[in-house]
Formats: sequence, C-alpha cells, structure tokens
Amino acid sequence: MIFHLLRLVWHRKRQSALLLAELFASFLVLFAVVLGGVVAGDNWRRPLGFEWEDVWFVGVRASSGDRPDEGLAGRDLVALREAVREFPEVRSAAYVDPAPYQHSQWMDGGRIAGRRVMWRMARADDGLPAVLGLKLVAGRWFSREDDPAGTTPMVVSESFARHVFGTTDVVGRDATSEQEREDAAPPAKRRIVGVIADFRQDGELMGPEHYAFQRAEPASGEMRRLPRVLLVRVAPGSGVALEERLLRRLERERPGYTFQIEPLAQMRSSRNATGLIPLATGGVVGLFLMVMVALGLSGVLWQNVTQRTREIGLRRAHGAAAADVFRQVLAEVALLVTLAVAAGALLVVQIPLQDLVTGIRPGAFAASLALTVFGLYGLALASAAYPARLAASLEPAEALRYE
Amino acid sequence: MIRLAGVEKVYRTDRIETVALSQIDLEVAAGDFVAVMGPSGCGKSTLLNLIGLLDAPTKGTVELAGKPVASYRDRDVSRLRNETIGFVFQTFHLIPDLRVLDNVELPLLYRKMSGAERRARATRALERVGLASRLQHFPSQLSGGQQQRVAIARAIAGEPRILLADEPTGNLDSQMGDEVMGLIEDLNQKDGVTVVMVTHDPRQAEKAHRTIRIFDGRQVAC
Repeated sequence: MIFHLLRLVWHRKRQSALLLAELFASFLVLFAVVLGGVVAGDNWRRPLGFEWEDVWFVGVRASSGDRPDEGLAGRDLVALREAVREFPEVRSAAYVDPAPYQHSQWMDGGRIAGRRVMWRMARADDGLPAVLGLKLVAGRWFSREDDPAGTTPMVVSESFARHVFGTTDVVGRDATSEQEREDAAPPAKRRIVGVIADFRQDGELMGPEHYAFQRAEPASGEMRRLPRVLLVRVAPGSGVALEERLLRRLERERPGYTFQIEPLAQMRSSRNATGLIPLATGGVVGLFLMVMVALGLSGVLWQNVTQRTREIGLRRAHGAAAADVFRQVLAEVALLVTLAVAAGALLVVQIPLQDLVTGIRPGAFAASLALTVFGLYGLALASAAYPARLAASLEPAEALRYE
Repeated sequence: MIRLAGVEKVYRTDRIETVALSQIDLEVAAGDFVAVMGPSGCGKSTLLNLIGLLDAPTKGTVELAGKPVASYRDRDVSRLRNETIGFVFQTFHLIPDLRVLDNVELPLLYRKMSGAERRARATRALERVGLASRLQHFPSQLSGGQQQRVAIARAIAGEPRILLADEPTGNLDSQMGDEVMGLIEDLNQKDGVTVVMVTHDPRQAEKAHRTIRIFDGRQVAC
C-alpha cells in the first residue's frame, strides 16, 4: 500500500508540491521555535557559575565624570568598599565590572597559543570569589602577590581553558594574544593564575561562552579603567532598611559620588524577563503559524477529498472499508510529512555539521529535531483527521455518482 | 448466488420521498448471465448497487451466496465485495494519476497479498483482456475501448464469482462495444462468472441468458 500511495503522490506532483512546500516551511519554523525553547531550557538547567541570592549591586559613579567610569579614583573605591564592609550585615564586598545581569559586556579576542578565541570578560578585585561564590577548579584567584609579576593575572573559565589549551591544567600559562600586525601596539602580557567553573554573566538564558576575569584591584595603584560596580553579599533577609543605611553611609563617605543599589535577584528577574521576550514572541508567532498551517492543511485536504470523491467511491466498491479510506487519507498526509521532514532534517543537520551556530549541545539539537518531527506529524495528522473522517463516511453508491 | 426478496429502495430528502425500487424479487443462479433493461431513471443502477452491496435496501433482504448481508458490519461487507464481486462501470472509473497496472491492482490492495503476487495477478488480468503491452500507460493514453478493458481487468483481477456491469458498452462505439461484450461473455462461459449487466442496448442484452425489465422501479417481466 505504501508504494501505491507513493506512486499516487508522485503522479500528483503538482497538487502534492504545494502541500509539501507548506509542510517543509512549517518544519523549519517549528524547528526554530522548538530549538529556541529547548536551548533556553537546556541553558536554564546548567550551573550559573555564581550565586546571586543575597548579593546587592552597588553602581558607583563620580558626579564629576561625563562617562560612568570617568573621575573614579582608586583610593575612593577602596574607602567605599571598606565603609560597606563595616556593616555587620555585610558578609563580603568586591568590585567587578561588568557585574552579573548587568546590560553591559566586554568582549576580547585574539590568537593565544595558536588558537583563535573570543571571550567575554570582566575586571574584578581580589575579593570577588567570596561575594559570588565562584568555584575554582584549578589554581587560585588573583591577589596582592601578583602585583610585582609585571603581567596581568587572569582567571579563565573551564571552557576557555579547554578551547585554547585542550585542558584545564593551564595555571601559569601565558595568555598573551599574539601580535598579528607588526605596526600594532604590543599586546598586554597576561598570565593565567586560576580556572573557575564556567561563568554565565547574563544569567540563566545565556549559552556557554568562554569567560575570563582580569585583575583590577583599586588598592593596587593607578590603572586605566577602574571597576565601577561594588557587589555586596549581605545577610539573608536583609531588606530596604539596610539598603537605605548603606546608601547614606556611602554618600557620607564620598559626597562626590552617586550610587545606585539594586539586589541582584531583582536584576536577574528583569534580565530573564527581557531574555524571554524574543522566546515568547517566537513561540506565539510559531503557534499562530502552526494554527494557520493546520487550518490550511485541513482546507486543502478537505478540497482534495471532495475532488477525489469518485475515486473514494471506486475504492469502496473494490473492497476498501471505511476504516481503510480513513487510514489512506492519513497515510498520504504522513507520507508527505515524511518527505518534508526528510528534506527539512537534511537542511537543519547542516547547523551542527557545518558548525553554523555554537553553544548548542548535540543532545539539545537532537531533542529539538525529535520534538519537531513528532510535532509536525501530530499537527498534520490532527489536521487530516476531519477530512479523513469525511472521506470515510462517504456512501460508495453516492460517491460513484458524484459529479 | 444472488437473492433479493421484497426489496424496496426509497430516497428521502426533507421534502421529497422518491421510490427508486419497489417489490423486487430476484434470484440469480451461479453461472447465470442476466441483463437488466429499462428506461433511464427506472432504477436499474440502483438495483445493481443493491446487488453489489454498495447500497442498502430500505425494505427487504439481499442474500449473497445464501447469506443475508443486512447484519454485516462495514468491514465484512467490504471484504465480501472485495472477494466476491467485480464492478465494471459505464464511465470506466479509472484513476487518471495511476498507470494501467496500478489501476488493475486496486482491488488486490485490500487483500493480504505480497506486492509480487499482486503484480503477477494484475498482469495476468491485463493479458486476459489483451493489454499486456499497456501496463505502464496512463488511462489518458488509451482509447475508450482499451480503458473499458482495463476496467474489466481490474474487475477480474481478484477472480470474483460475480461481475456487475453497469452499461459497460454505453460509452463505446459498436465495434469496441462488441469487443468488450466478447470479454464479458468469455468470462461467463469459460470461467463460470455470474454476470448481471445493465444495458440499454437490446443487441447486447440478447447475449445474456435472460433479461429483467424494470419500469418505474418495478420489475415488469422476467
């Protein structure tokens, strides 16, 4: 029967092509939406690499500066940090820039040890691991002992280490970018002192990206750019009262500065909500499209059944039961879906094969493909069910007389 | 082989009730060749549909091979139709998108049978009607007579015991009509297939063993 239906579909190329094109396009749209959802879900389940609960963001800005980081002085930042640490509710405080969930990113890139690499990075002081609960997997966090080395100490994520060096045993390795043009300024010297578990600055919806922290300790003298976010770990349950006291203390400590305090939990909610907007939009558009496809498919099949009324009558006369007719209509649709899925799958597997998109785990890709295939079969068969029922309910004698 | 007793067929719509057949009593023995004649709209095709289990009577009973079929479920009626009855229609009813061989295979698709056996049986049926060289043609590439021969091949591919022909020569010229009638006679005489044929043509009806006349839905002579 399958070959019979295949021949029928093949000889009705023109009618089948339209349905096939619709199913193929639906496959691609559905796959994109499902992949987005699966990847977001997959990212959500991964470890963040830091702890955001009971951590507050304190944005520090000099009133005299035009830019956020202009006018900051290292000694002022140290004084502010010390002032915050005086509070009994404060467990630890450290500078970082940019901070987790902040709408700001710093990209760096170059050729290190012969491998081209792009990475996200932040400047941080010596106390950040205690505030964010960063998990060191090798080496140590940078500290005062790195001051005389003459190179910038760097702590990299596991994915960075593996990508560049193929291992996480990279402590002490030179991470200076190779000079690619002779007329360019010599690159800053960098040395890896530690490796942390993968760190996702943008939070739960961020895919895995290479990450590195570079030392920027305000107490270690002048530097070109100072970090301008003080992260403060507070005692659980601390609230607005502490926030107000902190703010007043900071303003008293350095009247020439302005401060913005916000719990990281709040920033997380806002960031995730922003991240979910395109996903939700894609989902709604995808759903709307699928409904349109289902209605279109149902309409086309209904028309198809009407056009084939006499053929259905003929099949009934030659021994097809109503159930056989019902199954045949569904089987023809399933056959078209199979062809569309085969063509679509051939196209989308190029994404991992050609490395067109990074950061998607093979498991997430396979799950998306499987969900899309099942989804499309389900959608098409559900759309075909009513026309198939109509076809099956035709009385053979009437169907044969149909003009 | 076929027995109709007190059969009546009424078509009802919201306003109108049309009696298509009334008080039909008919027996057709195995190997018989019966012609059904009558003016257009008298109920000949309705009678054929009832015999062929394509329709159910409003009143009365239809028996096939000694079994009343009224209580049969759709699946059983379909199987009985598939295994016992072959149909030939005036307008051939070939599926234009399928090749000749695929058209002839149609009744065999609804039997448990391997693809190879299906092909072999369909090919034999086409050889029987003299169209072995047209297996891969589409219906549109054949003449009317050839198309009706394909329809006969399709009807006999399943080796049915009954052949129901609804004006099989109605759309053909006399020469092609004679060819088709020759095939039907051959099936009746050589293979013992029971034939019930609706026709307008007295010349074709003469080839049957007997003729039933229908007028205004009633059987007027046997």
